[in-house]
Amino acid sequence: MGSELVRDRVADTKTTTKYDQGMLLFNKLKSWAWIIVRAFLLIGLSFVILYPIFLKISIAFKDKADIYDTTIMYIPKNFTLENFQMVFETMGYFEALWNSFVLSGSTMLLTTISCALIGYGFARFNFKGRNILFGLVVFTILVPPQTLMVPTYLQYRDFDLFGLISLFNDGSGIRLIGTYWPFLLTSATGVGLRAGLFIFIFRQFFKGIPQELEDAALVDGASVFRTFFSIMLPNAIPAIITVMLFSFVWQYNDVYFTTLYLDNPNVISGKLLSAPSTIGHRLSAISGGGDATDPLYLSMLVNTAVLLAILPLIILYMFVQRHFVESVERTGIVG
Amino acid sequence: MEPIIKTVKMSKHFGSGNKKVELFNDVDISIGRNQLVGIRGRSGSGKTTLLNLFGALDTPTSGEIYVEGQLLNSLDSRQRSELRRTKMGFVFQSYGLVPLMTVEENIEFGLRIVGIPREERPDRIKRSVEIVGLEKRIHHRPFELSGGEQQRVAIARAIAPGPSIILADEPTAELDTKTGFYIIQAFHELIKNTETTIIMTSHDEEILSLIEHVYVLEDKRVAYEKNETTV
Ligand SMILES: Nc1ncnc2c1ncn2[C@@H]1O[C@H](COP(=O)(O)OP(=O)(O)O)[C@@H](O)[C@H]1O
Ligand SMILES: [Mg+2]
Repeated sequence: MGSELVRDRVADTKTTTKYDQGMLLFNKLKSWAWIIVRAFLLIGLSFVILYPIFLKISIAFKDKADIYDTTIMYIPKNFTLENFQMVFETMGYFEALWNSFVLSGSTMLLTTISCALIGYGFARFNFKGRNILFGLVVFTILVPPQTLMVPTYLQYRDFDLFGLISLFNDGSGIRLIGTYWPFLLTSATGVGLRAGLFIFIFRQFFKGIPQELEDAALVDGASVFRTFFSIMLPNAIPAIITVMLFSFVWQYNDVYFTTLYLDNPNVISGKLLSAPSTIGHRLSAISGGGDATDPLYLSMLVNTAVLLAILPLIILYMFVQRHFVESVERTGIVG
Repeated sequence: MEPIIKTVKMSKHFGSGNKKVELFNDVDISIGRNQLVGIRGRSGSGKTTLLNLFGALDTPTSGEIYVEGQLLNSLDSRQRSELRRTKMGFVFQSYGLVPLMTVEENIEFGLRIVGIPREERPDRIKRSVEIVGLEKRIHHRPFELSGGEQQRVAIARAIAPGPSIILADEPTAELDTKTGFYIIQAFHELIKNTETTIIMTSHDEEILSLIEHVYVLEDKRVAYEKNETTV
């Protein structure tokens, strides 16, 4: 901007003094220097983030013969899709992907709805014990769920509500382990994966929306729920997008709850976790038993599995990226 | 010597009517001390349920279970959790490591929950990490470790308090055979160096062939099978 001003003046007066020329040059240099520094920073950052992905892509297309060829760095000599084919088959990729999307999609919706309602309650309603309750919400962010493994498992192995279910079920709860119910129940009641953080996000966001907006609606005779859905939610789109994306991605990547709640997790994260095992067994079956499996070949296939697991997220991110970046900026969440 | 776990006419059924599932009928087994014990069965045969019964996380429909001579049936829920806390270590399919804590902190955390005094903790951490062979990794966080290494941390955490029984449900299910062998090796190391008994389930024949004492779940019964192992 500064250099433009100077240029205008230069054009106007047509009498270029020595001083003006010096300023012109200095400003030009300054802006060039800034461009270069910025470019370096961006390239560096992108490199750090993208390099592992490029490396994975490069390995995924390599042939088995290319592993031991020392002349090959990144570009494979024998392009092949065999790795992908192998992984598709052993992982049952598309079925697991579908299950992952169903599971992450439904918990995402339930979590967003429940946490928005709870966050609204904390932001706008004055009731006894509000601060204590909110303190407890923050507390759930601090306590790692891993510390509650056995109680969590028992809770859903014999699921019961105040002993009501066992009244009708021969004195024992129902077994929800091995079903999606634990995920759905926890996210619908606002205690799902990292729900504490989402409640916090919504509360902060709703607090930032001017009270007058609601007051006007309330004066017009709108009910609390009406106000919430027609005034608050449309204004909370950035928070909603942020929470939806985070909850989707975290559920998609989660292995702790998926392996705890599901016996044989047929979702991407679970399949990825057991990829070394399933692919390894497949390889030794092909080679006719024995421990003839080549560890480098195995790790190449596992690498392809990792790539295939994150690919849907990358594609998804490309579509929602613009909204997401804006939303995160506006909710003030970083990371 | 008194067996570490003994069952007398133990039965376990789920549900009733035509939905009734009879998993075990009149099972009588006794498991000796300081052994590595494998439990084999296909998926749905009741391996997890059996471990839950041994770990006082579930109660039999009828019959008795003794752990170190103590009858489980007579304990209330507080005594059960006390028994689990002092005598048992669990290794689940879900590793359950706290992501923000290093290997060392994860194990220390387990010790704190069990109530091991602060002065004893460093020693115990060191020994358990040695047994699973992760000395070089104690300052790493779980996401910097491979699946097999994470499982070994979970095992180190389970053995650090010095339980008399370790119950491990499919500890090698997610690992390739070679990594699975390392886990079995760590288990052998453990029974050689301590008084612990390890009971683990698996459906992997290769893994089970490395274990000397195997119990097979079949037709609502539990049969003993001795393996000739070279390990
Ligand atoms: N709480 C329960 N209620 C009803 N059925 C159950 C319960 N727990 C286990 N089962 C049934 O018992 C069978 C054995 O389960 P499990 O012990 O998990 O087998 P495994 O670990 O060998 O795969 C399964 O068919 C399962 O559905
Ligand atoms: Mg099981």
